[in-house]
Amino acid sequence: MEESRQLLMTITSMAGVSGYEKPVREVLEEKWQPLVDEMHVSNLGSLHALKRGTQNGENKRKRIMLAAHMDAIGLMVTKVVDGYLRFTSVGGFDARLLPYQPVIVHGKEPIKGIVATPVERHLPEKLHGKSVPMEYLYIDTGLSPEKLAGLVKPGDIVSLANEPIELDEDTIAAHTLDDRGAVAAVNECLQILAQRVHAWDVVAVATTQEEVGLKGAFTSGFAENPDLAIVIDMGFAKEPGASGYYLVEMGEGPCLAYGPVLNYQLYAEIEKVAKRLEIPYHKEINPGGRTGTDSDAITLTREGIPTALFSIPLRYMHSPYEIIHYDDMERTGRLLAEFICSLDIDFMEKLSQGPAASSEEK
Amino acid sequence: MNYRYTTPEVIGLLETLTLTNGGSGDEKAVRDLLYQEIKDHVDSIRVDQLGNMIVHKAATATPSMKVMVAAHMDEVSLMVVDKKDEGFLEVRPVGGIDANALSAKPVVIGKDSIPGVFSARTIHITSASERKSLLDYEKLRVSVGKKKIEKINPGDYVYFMTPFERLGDFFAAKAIDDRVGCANLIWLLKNAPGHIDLYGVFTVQEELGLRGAKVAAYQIMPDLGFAFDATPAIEPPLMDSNEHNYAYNTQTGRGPAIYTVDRGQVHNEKVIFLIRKVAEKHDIPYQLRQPGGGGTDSSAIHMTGSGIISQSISVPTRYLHSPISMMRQDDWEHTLHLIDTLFSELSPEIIKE
Repeated sequence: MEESRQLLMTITSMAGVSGYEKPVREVLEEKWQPLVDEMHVSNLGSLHALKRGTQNGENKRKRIMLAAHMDAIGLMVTKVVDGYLRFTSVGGFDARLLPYQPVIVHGKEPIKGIVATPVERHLPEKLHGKSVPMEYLYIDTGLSPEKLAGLVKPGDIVSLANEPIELDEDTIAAHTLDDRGAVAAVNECLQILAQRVHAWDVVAVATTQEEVGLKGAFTSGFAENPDLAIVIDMGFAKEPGASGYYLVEMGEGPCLAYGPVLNYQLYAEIEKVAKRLEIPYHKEINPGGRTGTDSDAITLTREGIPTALFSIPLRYMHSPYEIIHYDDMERTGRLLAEFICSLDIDFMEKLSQGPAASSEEK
Repeated sequence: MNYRYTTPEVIGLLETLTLTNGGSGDEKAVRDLLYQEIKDHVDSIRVDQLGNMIVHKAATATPSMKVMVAAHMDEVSLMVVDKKDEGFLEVRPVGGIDANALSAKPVVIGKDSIPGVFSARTIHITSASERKSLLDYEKLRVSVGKKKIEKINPGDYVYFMTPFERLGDFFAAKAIDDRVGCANLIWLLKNAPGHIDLYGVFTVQEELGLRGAKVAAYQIMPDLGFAFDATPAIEPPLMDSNEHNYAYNTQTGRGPAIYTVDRGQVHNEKVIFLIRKVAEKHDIPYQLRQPGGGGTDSSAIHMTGSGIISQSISVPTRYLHSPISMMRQDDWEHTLHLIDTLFSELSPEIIKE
């Protein structure tokens, strides 16, 4: 448990903006080396870590893929002007939370700066009384115009620079918990599996470029061609100003997604394991045509892959201080491990089309 | 540039001062720190009923003149006004803080410095029209850990959790307004020329309307008053390169800002001309602050009793009253250089018509 928390502290202090995940991947490679049998990096940068199962026999061993994305939203320089930087976003940001945010500009060398905002009288009249759009915000590095121009070019990546904070012993606030919290849950699963026997092969994949269109999941799903997949991402925890059926409490277990774009039977089997072990969970109803996670890519890979989605409740998603409860991260890892250990040779026969007779216990 | 005034020791004091929390009405921690810093260098120190710390360094030469210098200890902060369930606090500013500066900013709350973060809206579950709307205190909350919320009460002060750092040619920190003035006043108290009967006042509640300076000046009734402060430098990049910024107040990199006309005061032209003369004689860059709004403890001093000539000398600083502000080291250096030379050349002539 402690190790997954420490890993989370480490990787939520890192940049790893979509397409630039290398620093995070290097930490995971080192961390997972003793826990798995082999690792490789895909052409798009995703880290594949394979732990072989014990199942023997004539057939190829069954394989389950776990996918959690290691990339994070960030910013990119669009213009160097008057000693300041204009920028756009990589992934989705509400521009209202950016003013006075500390950042690191990844120019010729890492440069600290802050996001600043003009006062109203320097904005066009049509914007008075409205929030300041991102194109009017700027980054102030404190460097002279000449020095800045020599170090930074349009296209340079900018990452958030705030350090993680523990709000109490259960709760962490940090940037990039989406989806590094899920990466830590996969780590928790691998730590548990290291002590356990499981029939199936497990391939844990830290995917890249989820925030810019699920790119790593598409290609890694194709490469692994698993029998089953579980995607681990973040769900919506209650936050001030929000109301909606999909909001859940933090600290009461992960969300298990339920809906047409995920596999109903797989959901039911995972739910059975959670109930048997009394692991708390939320049933997250997802009636739409997408989940907005790596599952959208993996379910439609090759001839189709039965996929489940675990979501860790997270408050203030895509903000510099996202918040999760450690218990939810750890329970996610435990449920993943227990489900994997419960998989037997005939498991795939349990999966058929359509909703299970009941998602509740029969 | 060779920094004679802003030595590592002086910078270290500013760092400690900005990392110490002291909102209006809660200045004790800053006052205690300043007391320790100055107690061995002056003749007397007392704290008045409102919490101002009045430090006297008596003149050692004649003729002398009685000069009061005010620097305010308080910074803009916030206060818990309501404790919602689920670990959400409702807060209001103590002093002027734009709610739009706050989303997702880290803070510490109360005597135990419990960590918290301002709320943000999740982009996936907000409408485009909501994202175009301004933030306000009715909607913002501070999130704290569930296990910590019992230790928090309405009335607790809330402070920005901002480190002190160098950013390029600047220092970036919270509360540069007005801990830089406090650091400048400490410097002056340690280095005052003998003919100045100096009353250094570390004032309270400037951010709530110059409240401390009013009563301090009444107690001292100086011949001449000064306020050492930080002043906004509003100099964003403009979208259209043909535009000009006519509303910067002050600009960084152009030296100390000499106030002329602000909301509270028309500053005395004889003092302004003396400052300009001294600055030009010693090749110290300076700027006249654009006339307009704003104000400093100086305007409280000048309306005290039957009137006191008083002048504000401030360091231009970006992003005042936000979680993080930025001040150039050379502007600070030039400000201290100006203070040094100006006080050496002050004479009672200045206040005689």
